Amino acid sequence: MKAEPNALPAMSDWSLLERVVRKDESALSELYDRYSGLVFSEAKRILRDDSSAEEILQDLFYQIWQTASRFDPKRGSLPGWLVVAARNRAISKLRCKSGEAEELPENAVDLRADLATFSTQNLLLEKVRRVLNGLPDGQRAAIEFAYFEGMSHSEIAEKTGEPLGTIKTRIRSAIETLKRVLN
Amino acid sequence: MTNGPHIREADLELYALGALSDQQAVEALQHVSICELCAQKLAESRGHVALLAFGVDQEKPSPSVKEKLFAKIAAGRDANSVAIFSTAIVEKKPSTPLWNWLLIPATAALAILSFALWRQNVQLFAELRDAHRIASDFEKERVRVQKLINVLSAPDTITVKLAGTADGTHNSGIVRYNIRSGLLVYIADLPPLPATKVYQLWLVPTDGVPISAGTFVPPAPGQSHLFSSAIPSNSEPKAFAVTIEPAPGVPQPTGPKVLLGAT
Repeated sequence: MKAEPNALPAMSDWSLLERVVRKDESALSELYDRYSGLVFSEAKRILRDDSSAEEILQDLFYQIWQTASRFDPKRGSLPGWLVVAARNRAISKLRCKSGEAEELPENAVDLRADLATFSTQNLLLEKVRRVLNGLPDGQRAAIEFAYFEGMSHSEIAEKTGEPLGTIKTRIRSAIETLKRVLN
Repeated sequence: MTNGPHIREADLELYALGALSDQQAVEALQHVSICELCAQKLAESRGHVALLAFGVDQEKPSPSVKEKLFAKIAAGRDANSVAIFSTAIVEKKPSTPLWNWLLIPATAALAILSFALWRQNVQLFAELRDAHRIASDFEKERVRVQKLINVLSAPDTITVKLAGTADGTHNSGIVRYNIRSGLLVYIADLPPLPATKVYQLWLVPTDGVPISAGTFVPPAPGQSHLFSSAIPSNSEPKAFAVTIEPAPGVPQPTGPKVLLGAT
């Protein structure tokens, strides 16, 4: 990810969404530039296929264009919703399920991190990578199976041959460690 | 999976991660749909889980994706423009009087139908919400009853029979008490009281002053009354007693003792 092109404070997601509601394409373009890399990378990591990941990316931003007025900033953050929705759709594709559209308000995601600029995104990326790299192998594998393969805890237990309780504990411990990133 | 009336935070995180079994996920979804607090916590859990997306190596999508996105938006806009333009042309056409007469009742019928469907939708939504609430109440009651059953059947639960203290009375009661948990179940058959009075059950400890286990009034003349209560655990009882006290009850017994039973 490249450095910030200029030092001007970034317009908030909410301000841009308000402009999207008024059908301002430049606002959508700015949101796209801000978050498309994040969404695409996540979907590609799950599907391991460029064109399927691009399809999800395009669909999600088209949905924002059509239903931006339904997004309530009090109920969550836009990048949070984007990564959760992208992940759900990618997992549905992976498991050959018919992915249903993520309704904006019902799937609120409270991601308390400032991601409006590339520098703040990079900062968080670095932190999360450091935390993930520091996780014990078992914890990292369990949480990656769940997040990127869409496996339930019982499926992970079956795959790894570990007891179900151990898998639950590993996932919870990994999430606890991740939470500290936000603090 | 629940912690009292709410879902445990750890399970909300597993739900946000999609790692619960299908059945557990359905249970969680049902609860979250009616519990604002758990819905808020789930949003936070989703935020924590979403951090995993930041652990992925970042790649830029092909510029053609953005081009296709805006082409799709432009196509939609053009289609709307054509639709508006077509409508405008149609509006300029002189309508026949027959069409006008047919369109008015048809529009009115559609409006009535839409209103009726909207009303039905609102009603169904309210019924669904009530059904969720009733299910939640039943679940709370089931948990309460299960606790009572556990008290009644626990091996370390003691039974104390209470007998009337005044001559000529045939009142009686039974107390089942679990010292470890402090849970107590009491069944009695007592006559009704004036509205200003209540019965109050007391645990008389081996050491110290009586501890109130709660007040009650019989539901109807002659009917047995079952009542459960929780008092401080590890209270070693010497006896249980029931007194008549002014409503809504007193911190220490003052009124006449109507039932008494030693352990």
